[in-house]
Amino acid sequence: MNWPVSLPLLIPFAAGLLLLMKRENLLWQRSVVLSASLGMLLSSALLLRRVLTEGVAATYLGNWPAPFGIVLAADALGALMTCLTAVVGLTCAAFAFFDIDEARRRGGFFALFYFLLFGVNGAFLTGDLFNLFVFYEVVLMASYALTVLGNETAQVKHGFTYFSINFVGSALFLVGAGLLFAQLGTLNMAHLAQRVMAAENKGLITVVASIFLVVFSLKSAAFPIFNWLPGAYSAPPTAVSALFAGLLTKVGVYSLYRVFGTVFAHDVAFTHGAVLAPLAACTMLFGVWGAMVQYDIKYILAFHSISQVGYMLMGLALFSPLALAAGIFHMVHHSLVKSSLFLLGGAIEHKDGSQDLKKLGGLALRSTSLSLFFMVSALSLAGIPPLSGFFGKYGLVVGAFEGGNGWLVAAALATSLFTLYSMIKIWRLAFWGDKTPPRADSKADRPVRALLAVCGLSVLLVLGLTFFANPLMAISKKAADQLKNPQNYIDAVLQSGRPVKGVTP
Amino acid sequence: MNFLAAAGVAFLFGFGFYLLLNPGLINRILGLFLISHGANFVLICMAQLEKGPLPPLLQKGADAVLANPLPQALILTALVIGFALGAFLWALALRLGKESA
Repeated sequence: MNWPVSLPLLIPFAAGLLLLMKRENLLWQRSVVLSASLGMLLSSALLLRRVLTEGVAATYLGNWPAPFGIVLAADALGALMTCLTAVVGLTCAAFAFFDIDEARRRGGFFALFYFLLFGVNGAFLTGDLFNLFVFYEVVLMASYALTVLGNETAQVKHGFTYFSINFVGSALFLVGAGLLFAQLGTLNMAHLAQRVMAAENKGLITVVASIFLVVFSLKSAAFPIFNWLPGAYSAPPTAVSALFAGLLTKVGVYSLYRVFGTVFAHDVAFTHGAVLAPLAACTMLFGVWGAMVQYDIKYILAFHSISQVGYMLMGLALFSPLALAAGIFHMVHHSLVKSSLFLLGGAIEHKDGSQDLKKLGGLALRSTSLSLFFMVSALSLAGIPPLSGFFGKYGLVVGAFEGGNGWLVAAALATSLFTLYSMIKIWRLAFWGDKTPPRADSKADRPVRALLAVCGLSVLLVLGLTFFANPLMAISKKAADQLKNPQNYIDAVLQSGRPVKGVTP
Repeated sequence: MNFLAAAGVAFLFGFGFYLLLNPGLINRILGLFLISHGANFVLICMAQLEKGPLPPLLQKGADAVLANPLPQALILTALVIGFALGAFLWALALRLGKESA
């Protein structure tokens, strides 16, 4: 057993089990969540450090050798994403402690929360396509339950849509895995990458790849299958929305990067250039157009999640080292910024009892810290320099020009402008003006100060990303290199470090 | 045999999507189940339908063509997950049905 690789999986799983117990005991729940969050942060940071110094790390469950047994493999991308899970999980769990009511907590909110993190980390670390499916189901099952936990009408309604569309997606995932197995005789991703390169009939593989494209773009809410996202992200409580926005679509995008970077890189001109690039442009534009006409902060932010997925897809579509690195950077940036924006929206709701822009107003006069926090995050989302959103977008634009895709640049810049417009709309309607909305709401008595402190932490992370953009870009570049040259990954999973009998590696 | 299986898969997926897009809660649920069975059927087809390969039980001196056991394992996993999802789906539908009634 290779502990650094398996700990980011084991900690949230153990925490989920522990949190199922003593759900009425707030102290128990808090201490387990706190120690699990810190443990996840530490273990994923250790994993990232190890991967950066020693290269791709792999562990073989049950000591079965690689193409036959189940393998967990961490390259720089996977390790970076586990760090992201830990950070976003920490802020969202902290927010949830002040936001989630007792009924939900007794219903097992935090246990589901950690099972979700377990599934997410599993999806980031697995080296096997079928295991990716299984971890997807873990994530989805926890997210279905979190979506409807609380039993509000909107939650159940949107939960059913969310369930149906992901159920179909899972069925397609199975079909894709079956067809791929029939053609190549393996589901281990490193082994698949080898066999795809050696395969004779590459056309058939492209057909199977298109099934995976549908599945993963459904999960990452890419055009044209994004309609499920705004409802599912706005119905549950704020902490859940923030967690979903920070991590769930990222799992889909990560899978696209992994599968179309490591495995299906046999026909880049078609799969990436002709299919993914227009999809990325449409995702950016349609997402942001959806956001522009909304008047509810949660809906606006959810639609922005869609359009930002377009940028990440753009990085993959261009498939040059610079663009991939910028796309990975953007993934990290967007996770932090979007979860912080959702949390700020939740804080606004606690303060003024609503997230509807038509009912809000004058927040800038009444809460300086809230407006400062919001301004930093909103400008960062729009990509105003020197904030962190700028670096990723800059890399993508340069990458697109290098690849001769001027039209993608046009779409990306237009989306940025529209994003800025809709952030300014929130600012103008919610923060300016002198309207003081009635606070007559059941939620108004909860601790707004504590929520603001958590929001401050998340905004601090966004700012930190601005100051440490260079090291993060270096890690992203390394991850992009590993994706672009999968030979390291293949060697690490299939050959080196293969367990020797009786010796624990 | 392969043609029959393909027709079965096509029927399950086609009818499943038809039901899913129909109004009515029960229709949609049945549609989802048909689609999930369609996916399982595809997996079965991936493990040799034709007669010939033996079950993968090794004997001394046997060098027969053995069937690949992995697709069966995949189906088992998929079925278990599908069962859990189905239970959740019924609970959700019950709640949704009460809402609309």
